[in-house]
Amino acid sequence: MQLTIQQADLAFAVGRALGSVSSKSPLPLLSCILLEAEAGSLRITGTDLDVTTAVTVPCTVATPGRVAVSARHFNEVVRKMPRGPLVLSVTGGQCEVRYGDGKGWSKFPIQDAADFPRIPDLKADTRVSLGGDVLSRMVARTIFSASSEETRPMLNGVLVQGGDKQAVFVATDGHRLSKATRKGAFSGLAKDGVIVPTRAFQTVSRIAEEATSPVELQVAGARNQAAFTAQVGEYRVQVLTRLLEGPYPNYEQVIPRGNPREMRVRRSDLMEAVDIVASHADNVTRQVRFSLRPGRIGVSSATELGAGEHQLDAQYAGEAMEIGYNAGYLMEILRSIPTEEVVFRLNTSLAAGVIEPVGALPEAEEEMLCLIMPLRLPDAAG
Amino acid sequence: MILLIDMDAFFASVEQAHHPHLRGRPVIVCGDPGRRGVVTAASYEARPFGVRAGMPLQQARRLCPDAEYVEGRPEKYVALSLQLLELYLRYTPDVEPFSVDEAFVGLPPPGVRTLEQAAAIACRIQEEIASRFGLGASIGVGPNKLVAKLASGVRKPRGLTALDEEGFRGEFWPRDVEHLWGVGPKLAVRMRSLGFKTVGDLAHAPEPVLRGAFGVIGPQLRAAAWGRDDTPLIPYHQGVDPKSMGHEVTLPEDCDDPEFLEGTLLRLSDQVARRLRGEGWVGRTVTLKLRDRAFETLTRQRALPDFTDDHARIFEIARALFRIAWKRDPVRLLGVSVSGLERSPAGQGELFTRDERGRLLVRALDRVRDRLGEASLVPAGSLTHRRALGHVPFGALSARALERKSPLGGGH
Repeated sequence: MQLTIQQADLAFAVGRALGSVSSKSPLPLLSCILLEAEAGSLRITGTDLDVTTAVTVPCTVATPGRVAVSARHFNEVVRKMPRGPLVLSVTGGQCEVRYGDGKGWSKFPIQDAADFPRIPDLKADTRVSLGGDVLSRMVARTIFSASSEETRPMLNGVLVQGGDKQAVFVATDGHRLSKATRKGAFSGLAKDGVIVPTRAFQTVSRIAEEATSPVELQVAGARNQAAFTAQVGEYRVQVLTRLLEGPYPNYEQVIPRGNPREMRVRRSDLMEAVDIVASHADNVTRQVRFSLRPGRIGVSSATELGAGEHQLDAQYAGEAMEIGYNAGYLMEILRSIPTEEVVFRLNTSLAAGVIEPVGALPEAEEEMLCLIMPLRLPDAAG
Repeated sequence: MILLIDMDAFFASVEQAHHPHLRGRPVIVCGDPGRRGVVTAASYEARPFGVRAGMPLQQARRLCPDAEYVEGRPEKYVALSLQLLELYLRYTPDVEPFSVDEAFVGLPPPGVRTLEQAAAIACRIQEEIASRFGLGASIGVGPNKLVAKLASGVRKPRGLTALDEEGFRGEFWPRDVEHLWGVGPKLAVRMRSLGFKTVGDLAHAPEPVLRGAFGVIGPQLRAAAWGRDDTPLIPYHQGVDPKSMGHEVTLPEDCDDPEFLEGTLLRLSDQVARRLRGEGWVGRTVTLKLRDRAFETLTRQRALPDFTDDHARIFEIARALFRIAWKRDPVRLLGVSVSGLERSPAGQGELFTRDERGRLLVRALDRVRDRLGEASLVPAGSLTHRRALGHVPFGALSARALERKSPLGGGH
């Protein structure tokens, strides 16, 4: 195997493929990336068997071939090499990279590429394409609510649903839920949707942000696999993932429609209040107390660490109410909403509350909604 | 100075004190005499026959067929235990219950400086226990918890042994390493394999060898062999947090029916969850205990990513562990416990599994069982083959429930 490639192209491909290489793998070969040179291109693949990233970049191939090298080490060295053409060749059981017109070289031990896990070709039965920016926004607006609990694996990802009118992304850990929608025809995706693991979406999201083409999502329902493919300039990036098995809980059923109390507040004010007060909150529950009064709310917390209270103006006309929240959940929700104001639609201090942006999102075709379950305050009835 | 007051054959002695016809006779306290199970306590009269706590009841019957077999009444013992703590509190505020029948009592300066002064107080406590409750206690007196605990076992029953570090070494250095507090059978085997047979050998073991063989506890073991210990006494009124909560049951007969065994796990998980809720704890590590007919005991545990007091989640883990660990041999005993306890968070609401109605339901079910007893409501899945456990396994009542029934009720 021998080829000539631009340092920037190789560094990009290695860096992205590394994103799917597990840092502590039981199989030594899984800490490697696979380099495959074919006519005019080099494909670099990293996998942890659940999520696989394959990047194809242009190059001049003198001799085609396949080789596996240690992902982290190779990345570290290639990253530092000077810009310009590199000559990559496999000789004498080592992978050699020459740079700077013969100024320098590095050699890397190689592993037998034949043992590298075979990445199956996806036999897609449905496909849909989404703008890269749309995809990364939808992921960012939901992924933080996904669970990391092993006992409910179907919640360890984001539910992606399609249809004639909209695409819907939903994530929940059973304590909070976030939902993002985009109007448009996404009929390539099933209405009951697929569950994309959190880790796959973290990788996809990064690529979606830099994508110069729409991201194509292909699903092989029968094999429970999906692939996200996009162009980043001249590079073609594909992320393959196993999908999570459902059924996903019926989330529509838990979104309250007629919560009677409405509280509007400036998002940045509330974030500041919660952030300061939560410094005193219990490390496990992260509990902060909201005291709703006409025209204002108080956010407070008291533990053996200390106590604090923060008053802020709010539009609230309902009766006085005390309600507890996990500050961590609240901050993640508030951070995900882009509008200046947010509205809390509440029922009782024990029932699910809805948090939504006030006014339209910057993208008129998009909507979002979050749900949060309160923390029962020690002095609450019930 | 610290005392360790250990009640002699506590449960059996309580029964003898309350039932004059049992006095002077071998008494064996157990779960339910009509069933299988283990000896909970044996009176001193039963011990010459070789009967020991923890022994299977069948074996006890063979060894001592004429003993009186009495069903244990945990609420009575807990109530008495609390009365004993009250008694100690009249001498000093530093009382740390160590188990239902043992307590550490701290006698701090300036009142008490010497071993003799402490021993004199110990003697008064011993007499008061005898005159007020008709019970025997063995007391160890020492400069720290370790020496006090070990001294209490030197002379029994109704013994009083006061040892300073010097005296401790004289008494314990010739003894086998197992006699040291904290050295179990497995550790003892390893120590012997390294050539440390007695406590004295351990005291003179090179520290690097101990550190190499036992890690950080190596130097601690060596310090213990010298009678040195700086574990603080944690007074009762400051509260002693439990490390784990669990329930176990010896099955009516050895069983290899998966449905019945999993049903039993469900029942145990339910009891553990109930106790966690009752006492305001949540835990994150679930441990399964499995004992086969050959008395081989196996434990397996798995941590949850967060804390729970939900019986369904505890059961899910216990069952998953059981399915991995169980080799389809007949099972004698099953246990489920939850550790890694934390005070229950103020109650994070659940969107799906435990909605508000579900939570209210669980609380209502708890209240029914508080009033009508554990058997009034049980998970249907635990009733497989109609071989439900007819009685509440020992210890299934929560301490809170017991305290309510005790004359000292509401004593928090």
